[in-house]
Amino acid sequence: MSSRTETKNRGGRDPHQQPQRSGVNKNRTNLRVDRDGDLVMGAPKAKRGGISKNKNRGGARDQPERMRIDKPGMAAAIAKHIAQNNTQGSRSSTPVSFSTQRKDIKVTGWKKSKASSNADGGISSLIAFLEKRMGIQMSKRVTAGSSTAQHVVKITDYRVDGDAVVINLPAADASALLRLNGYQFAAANIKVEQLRDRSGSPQNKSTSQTTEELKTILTNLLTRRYNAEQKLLDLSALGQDTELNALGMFDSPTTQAKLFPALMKVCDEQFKTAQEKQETILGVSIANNELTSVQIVASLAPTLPQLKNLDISNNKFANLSAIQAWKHKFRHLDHIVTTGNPFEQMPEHQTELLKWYPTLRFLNGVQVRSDEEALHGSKGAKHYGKPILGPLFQDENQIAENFIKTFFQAYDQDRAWLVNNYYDATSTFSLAVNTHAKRDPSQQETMQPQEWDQYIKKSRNLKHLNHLQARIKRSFTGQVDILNVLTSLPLTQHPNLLTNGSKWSVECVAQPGVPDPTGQSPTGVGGFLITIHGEFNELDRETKEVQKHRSFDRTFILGPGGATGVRVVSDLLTVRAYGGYEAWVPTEPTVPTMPVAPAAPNAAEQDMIIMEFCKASGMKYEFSKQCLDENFWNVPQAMEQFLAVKDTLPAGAFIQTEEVIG
Amino acid sequence: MSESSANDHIEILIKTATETAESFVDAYYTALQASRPTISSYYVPRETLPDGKIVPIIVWNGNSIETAAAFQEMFEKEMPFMHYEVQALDCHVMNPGDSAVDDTSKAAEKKISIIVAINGFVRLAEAREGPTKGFSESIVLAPNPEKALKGPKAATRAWLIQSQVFRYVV
Repeated sequence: MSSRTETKNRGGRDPHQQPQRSGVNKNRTNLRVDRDGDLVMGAPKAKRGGISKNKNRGGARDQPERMRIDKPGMAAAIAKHIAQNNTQGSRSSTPVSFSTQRKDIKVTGWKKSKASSNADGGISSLIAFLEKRMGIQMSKRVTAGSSTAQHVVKITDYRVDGDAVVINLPAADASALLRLNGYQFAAANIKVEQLRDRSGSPQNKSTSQTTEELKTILTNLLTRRYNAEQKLLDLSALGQDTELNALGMFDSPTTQAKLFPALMKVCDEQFKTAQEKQETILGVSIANNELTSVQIVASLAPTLPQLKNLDISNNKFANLSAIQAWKHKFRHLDHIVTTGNPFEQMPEHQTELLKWYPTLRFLNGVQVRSDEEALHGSKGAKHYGKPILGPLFQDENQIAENFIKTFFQAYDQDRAWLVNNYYDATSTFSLAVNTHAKRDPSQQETMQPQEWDQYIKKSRNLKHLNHLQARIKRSFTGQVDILNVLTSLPLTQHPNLLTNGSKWSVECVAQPGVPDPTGQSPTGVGGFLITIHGEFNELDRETKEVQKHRSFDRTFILGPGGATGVRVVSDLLTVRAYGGYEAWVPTEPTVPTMPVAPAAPNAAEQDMIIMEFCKASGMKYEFSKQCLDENFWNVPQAMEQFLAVKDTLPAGAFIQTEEVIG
Repeated sequence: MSESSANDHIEILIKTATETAESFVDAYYTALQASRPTISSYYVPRETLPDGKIVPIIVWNGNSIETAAAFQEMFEKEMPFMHYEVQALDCHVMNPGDSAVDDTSKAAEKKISIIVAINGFVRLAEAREGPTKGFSESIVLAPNPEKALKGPKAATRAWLIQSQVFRYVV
């Protein structure tokens, strides 16, 4: 829906325009990229079903691609504009030739003919007359080209508008029709003229205007149907929406199929962040839409993946495969309403839905899973085994910590310094690009082509690099080679480790058998295995502007030696599409490794406790205070310690009888 | 040692390392999916090193797993169906005797470790339609000293996991 698509080669079907997509993720199959490289939501097979008001449904199945639009204004613009999102697959089901180039031809003057006294006002005789004459016209041309075949023309798409009939037909047939201007039909001269050009190019301006108007209309629809109190977006009974009907939204299967994805795009554009969207819309209703499948509204899932409440009641879902497109979507779904659908007759649907949605608590208002279990499901514990914990960082003397802090700062600012200080003649570096990595699930709508040109020729991804010589060549050893490859990689900007720690996952364990630079230990010495996951901005070399936002994984083997006392033995870098940092957010609060002291009591309270402790232990004030201090004011613990060391304490630690009296 | 023989030496080590990384990861991830009772056989025997460190080291999403047997049990009892799809793989050779390479290639192979970096996704719960999680894993492989070319030990694995750090990353 962006106006950007307007200026692009919309009629073309150059396969090179289809950008590479990350095709790995089967659970994202309803995200596609159209020929213009824009993201398209929704599924291509939305021919069945439809949003209510199905007066053209029969025709829809037979001629899925024909635009049968009665209202030339907005609906035409929608069809024309949104139809660009058609996949090539569905296009191929219609004859390619001229079918996409159609024209509107206006025929007037026929009302004055004798045929106008016919029951239908003469329209059928006129159409038959035009078909016959056009056939003759076209046959003449073909005969000239040495074929003798009789050309048969059928006019299937026309509408009567007062004295005029407007015929929509392929451009090739239109020229034959235009030649009939001035012909006599049942004793009346008819006038044939081109009404308007639907093929596009000269009318970009007006189309983008109508696109803007369409956006406004859809935005208004969203506003009108949003219940701020319940945070509910009510998209039920869209077929009875007077404004949508006024647009002719349901007159054509094409516009009908594209309405929902367009609505979802407009909805998505209302929010700056995924979080804002998530907090604004908790529930959606698509009830009463006469849907036989969710295909046509499937784009709801990628647009509002965090939805808590979903009402799909009173549709025509015959079985669960009708809503299959939403299986395992909506990972936070709490309540689903399914009443009034045929599949409710099937006893197993409840068990299935519980499997599909691990966080689901309520089905049709009845609690079907305990709060505790649902919470468990939301943590993904059931699906993902052990809980996700915070980083395990087993450092010694802050060696690894200091290295990491310095490393990424230097990597962003001065790679030559970095190589001189942390790498040596035996250090090894290599880069592997994962061009198909899973992307950040919360940012599906902003999927961009990745463009790996600057990395791919250095990538040592063994999955794709089979030749031994190439594998040897793309492993870089020694300062010179490593500096060369590192400086050839794009400039980067990593988030600050201290102030933006959540964007990093940094782990460190001991690694035995690390090469000993002194050569004294043939079995190697102790070092560290450091694994880092994070993200970076890629900067333009000249302008320093941010070009890309990517994620990376980096594995270091760190050992003793080098200019700083530590050196990189091994550095394996993986670069991939941005994948966010949700994955390493702990699902359970991290168990603190140090016992946490309770808040110390205030001075007055301390005084009371000390006096009590003095009485119990017999120790002097300052000794009691010290003992309590050391035990974080945990009285039983302090007492335990006191008892353990009591006999070793000097006599002066204890209160003398006189002092108590005094 | 001449330059050309040094190059040959490096070439042999890289060949060994890359091929080992590929076949090991294949076999190991297949075991995690489909033959969980064999998981512990992919690890070095538990051992306390002279510096007091204990191998193998196994870290799974921040959980430190004490032994290979415990890791196997976690997969047998707690984990759902998991299918690993490796999308990117890379590895380095680590030779503790780096600074004085004077071994023959065969002897050197017995000393090296292989550091493997793996990137991909896991499909959970259901083979076709289960949800996926992107992952990154770093594994250090050590040669199995028990491995023999002939006899009853010929079937044992040539390489074993000494350390392993796994994370879901997407």
